[in-house]
Amino acid sequence: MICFRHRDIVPAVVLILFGGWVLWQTLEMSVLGAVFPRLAGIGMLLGGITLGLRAIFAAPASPVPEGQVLRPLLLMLVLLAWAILLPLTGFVPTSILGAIAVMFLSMEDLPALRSAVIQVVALIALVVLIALLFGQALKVQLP
Amino acid sequence: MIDALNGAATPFNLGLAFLGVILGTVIGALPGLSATMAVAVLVPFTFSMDPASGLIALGAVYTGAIYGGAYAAILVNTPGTPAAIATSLDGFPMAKRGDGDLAVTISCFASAFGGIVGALALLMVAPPLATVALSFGPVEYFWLAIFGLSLIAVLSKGNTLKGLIGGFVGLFLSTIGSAVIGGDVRYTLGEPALLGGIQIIPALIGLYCVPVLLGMVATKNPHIERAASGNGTRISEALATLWRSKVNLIRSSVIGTLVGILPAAGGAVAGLVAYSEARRTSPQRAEFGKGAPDGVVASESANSATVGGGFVPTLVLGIPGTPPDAIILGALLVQGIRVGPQLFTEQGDLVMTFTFGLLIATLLMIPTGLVIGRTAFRTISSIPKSTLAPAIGILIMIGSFAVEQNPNHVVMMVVLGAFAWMASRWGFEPSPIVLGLILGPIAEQGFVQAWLIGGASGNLWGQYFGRPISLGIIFFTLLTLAWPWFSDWKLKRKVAETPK
Repeated sequence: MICFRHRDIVPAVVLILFGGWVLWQTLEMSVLGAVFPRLAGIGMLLGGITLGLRAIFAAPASPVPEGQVLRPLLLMLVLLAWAILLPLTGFVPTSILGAIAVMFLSMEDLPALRSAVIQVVALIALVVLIALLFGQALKVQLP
Repeated sequence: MIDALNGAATPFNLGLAFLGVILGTVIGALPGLSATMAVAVLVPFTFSMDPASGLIALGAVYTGAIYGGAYAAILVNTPGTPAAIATSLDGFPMAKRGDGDLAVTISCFASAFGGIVGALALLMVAPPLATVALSFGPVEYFWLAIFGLSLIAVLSKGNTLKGLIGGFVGLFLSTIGSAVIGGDVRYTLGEPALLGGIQIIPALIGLYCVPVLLGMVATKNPHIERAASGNGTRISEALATLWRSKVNLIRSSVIGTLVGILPAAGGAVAGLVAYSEARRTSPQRAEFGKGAPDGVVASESANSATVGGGFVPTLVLGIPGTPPDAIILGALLVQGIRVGPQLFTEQGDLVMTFTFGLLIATLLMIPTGLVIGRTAFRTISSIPKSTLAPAIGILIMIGSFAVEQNPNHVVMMVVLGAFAWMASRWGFEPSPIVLGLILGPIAEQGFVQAWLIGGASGNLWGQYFGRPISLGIIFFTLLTLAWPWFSDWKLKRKVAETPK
C-alpha cells in the first residue's frame, strides 16, 4: 500500500534538501577538505531518499510522541531569549528572569502564592550561589 | 615499594586525596564542567606542594571528576563529562524506572574497579604498553574513529537507518568551521562564531539535556521515579550485579586502560567501545538502551580505567593520554620534573608514590561516592519539576558558557537542543549524532594525514590496508557491524530447530 502521509515524509524531504545543499557547498572546497563534507552530504541525501521510500511503500509503525507541543515551544523561546540576552543584561538578572519563566512553564497547576514566592526565592538564591561558585571560586568571567 | 606506599599514605596526602575526590566528584557532576576543567581550575593550588603531593591531588580530582560525570548522566540524562556519554544510555532509563540509586551505586563500584585496574597497569606494565601506543599513526586513528562510528549500529536501538542518518548529521556538524587540514572554511554562513566549529561540551549539553528539559514540560509524568524500596544505596544489589557481570567488568576495565594509553582517545571513546563490546557479547542484548545495569558497568569501569591508563604515555613518553593528562603534564613541567623513560629510573620513587596515591584516591571514591550518590538521587527524585527544570536551565546555561567563556556557545547549545528535540519527535536519537560529532574530526584528520603520507610514499592503499594494527581494528569494526545480524540469525536458526 502506498502512503504519502507517513510521519517520516517530512524529515525525509528535509534531509534530501539539506543533503543537496551540503553537497552543493563542497564545490567551492579543496579536494581533501571536501571529502568528509561530501560523505556527510551523500549520507544525508541517500538516507533521506531511503527514509522517504520506506515511508511511502513500507509505512513502518511510527509511534506518535506523547505530550503537548505548545509548552516545549514556549520553553524553547525562553531558552533562546535567555541565551541571547546573557551577554547583554548579565548572568544574574537574565538567569533569575529565565529561571522564573521556566518555573512557571513547568508548573502543572497554578501554585499558591506562598509556594510560588518560596520557589522564586530559592531560585534567586541558586542563581546567586552558582554565580559565586563559578565567578569567585572557579574564576569564570561571567557576563 | 613500602617506602612509596608510606609516602602516599601520609596524613597530608590522604587528606589531599580525600578532598580531591570530593571536589572532583562535585565538579564532574555539574553538566558542562569536564574532568579537564576540574583539573585545570585546581592546578594552581598544587604549585606550592611537593611534586608527589601535587600529583596525588590532581590524580584524585581527575578520578573523582570522571566518576562524578555519571551522576548527571544517570539522573538528568546529561553526561556531566563526555566520558559518561555511554553511561546515560542505560543509566537514565534505570533512573526513570526508579533504579537511579542502584545505577549510581553500580557506577561507584564499577568506577572504583576500573580505576584500580588502570592504576595497576600504570604500576606494572607502563613502559611496554607505551611502546605499542607509539606505533599508532594517523591511519590507526582513522580506523579507530571508524570503529567508533560503527557503534552507531549498536546505539540505534532497532532503527539502524535513522541511527545512520544521525551519524551522518553528526559528521556534518563536525565539519562546520575551519577544516582540520587545509584551512577550508566550511558551512559557517559567514558567521565568525562558527569558525572554530561546534564545541563539544555545549553540543553535548544541547543534544542530551535540552530535549529532557523540553520533555519535562510536555507531560505531567514525574521526571524520574522515586525508589520504592531500599536505603538509597542498594549496595548488596549493586555488588550482586557486578558479580554477575564480572567478565564485562574486567573486560571493560582492560579496554579502558588500553584506550587510555592511546594518546588523545580519552574516556568517551573508552566508554563507548566497552559499551559496544558488553552489548555484543551479552545474552540480554535487547535490554541494552532500556536500562541494562551491564551497560552502566561497562561504561563506568572503562572510563575510570582511562585515568591510570592515560598516565602511562604521559609519564613514560611525555605524550598526554587524555586532555586532563595534558594539564597535569604542564603542572609537572612547572614543578621542574622531566617526564620520559628516564623518570622511571631517576625518580622511580615519585612515580610509585603517585601510583599508590592514585590507588588510595580510587578506594576513597567508594565511601565518598556512595554518600554523595545517595544524597544526589534522593534529592533529584524528590524535587518537583517546577524547581528542577529551572535549576537545570541555570546549569546548562552556565555549563555551556563556562568552557570557553563564550556567549555564542550558549546560543549554539540551545539551537542544537531545539534541533535534537525536534529530531527526537521523529524518532532520531542523539547518541549517533554525538558519535559522529566527536569522532568526525579524529577520522578526518587521520584520513587526510594518511592520504598525504601514502601519496608521498607512493603506497596509498598500503597506508590504509597494509599495517597490522589497522587490519586488527578493521577486523573488529567488521565484527561489530556483523555481529548483531549474525547473532540474530543464529538465534532464529536455533528457535527454528527446536522441536515444538
